[in-house]
Amino acid sequence: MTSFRAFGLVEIVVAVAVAALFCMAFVGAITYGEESSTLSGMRNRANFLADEGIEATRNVRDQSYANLVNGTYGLSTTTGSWKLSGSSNTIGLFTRTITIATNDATSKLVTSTVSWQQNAVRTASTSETTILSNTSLLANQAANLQVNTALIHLSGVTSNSLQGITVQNTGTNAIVIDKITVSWTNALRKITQVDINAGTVWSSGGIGTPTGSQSSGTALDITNVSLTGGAAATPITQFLFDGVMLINIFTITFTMSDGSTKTVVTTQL
Amino acid sequence: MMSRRTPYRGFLLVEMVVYTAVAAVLLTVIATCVVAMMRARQKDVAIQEVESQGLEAMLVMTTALKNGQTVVTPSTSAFATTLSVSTSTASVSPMVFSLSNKALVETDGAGASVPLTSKRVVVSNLSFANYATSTTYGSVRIQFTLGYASTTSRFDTNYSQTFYGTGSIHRPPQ
Repeated sequence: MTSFRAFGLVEIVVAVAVAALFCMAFVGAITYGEESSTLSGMRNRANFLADEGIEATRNVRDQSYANLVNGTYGLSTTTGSWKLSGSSNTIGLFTRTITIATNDATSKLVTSTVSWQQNAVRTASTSETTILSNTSLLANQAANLQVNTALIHLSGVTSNSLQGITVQNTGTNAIVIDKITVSWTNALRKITQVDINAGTVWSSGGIGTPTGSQSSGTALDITNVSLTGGAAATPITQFLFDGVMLINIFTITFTMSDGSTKTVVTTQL
Repeated sequence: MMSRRTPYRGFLLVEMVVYTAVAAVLLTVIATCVVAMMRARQKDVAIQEVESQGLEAMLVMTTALKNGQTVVTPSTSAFATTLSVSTSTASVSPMVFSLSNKALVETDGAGASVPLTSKRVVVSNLSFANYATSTTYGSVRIQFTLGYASTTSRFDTNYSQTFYGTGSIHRPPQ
């Protein structure tokens, strides 16, 4: 009988196995840590490329909203500026596609997706989505309102009706005339009626506000007049006053529904 | 008769040999593991340094572009090795980004140059391309390569990456 026997083979094998396990765990942790740094780095760089897709598409939109046609694209810079072309881009190990779809009548949904091979068996992707609006619509309504005063004249038995003005929408989007403010120099006179396209849109009798004959410079809230983009000129049939308006300087300000204004000045002898 | 059994006998030669062999194997395995761990750690430091500094530098430049007024350099459809963005705050306008002593530096207005990258990385191939048109605001593609500046040659710490990104002036349309 031995009271101090040596290690058995089994004990040695177990000890070695435990030591090996620890080693493997450490090496594994460090190796995976390194891999995760690489992967997160890749993702960061992919995010920049996805962002680039959005920024470039925004620039293409700024060139012309009509450039945003639904579909899947890549980007090209061969002409010195951003262009949608092809169906994807390859930047190193990253592949980027830009998808344009309709969001609503005045905006597009743009998605920039970047995908890449993380390792031999795994692919990853990141994407960024934004809505790009037709910013040409942001141009105010007044910018597209053309007021033609070439044929302006005073008419009526007592020269109390200002006629011959036409308004036209030279843009593509509707213009709504909300208010008209007319100023003149003869303080004794008052305005009593405004007719556009042969229909009364304001009168002292109660169409529009305020009611009653109005002095020079009063904003007349007329029945809204809508002008379609590209349509023919609409005549402002008349501004009717309560007396002779000869020898007056008229200042007419149109206020559109978006708050933008257009002013014309004319002198009648 | 006296017993020949000795309760405290020495090791047999074969036992010593086996012991030494096992110890040698164990030590070799452990040493290999430690070296592998150190190598992996060094490499990880290099990767993190390059990736994080690249991310940071790119963010600073794209943000400057987003908040800027106009792109002074490069001009439309042109390339340049410096980026100059004018801002609405006169004291820091223009913001200029360029390469100096292998580092990316930012110079705001008449101020001193401030490095955006540390000595631990080397910046190269810095280039800017303005892909806007005459009717759109500046849209600058930024490209640069970051490499880890190894201080020790004991381990392989070579790591470099090329970063691409684009920043545009974000202003309401004209």
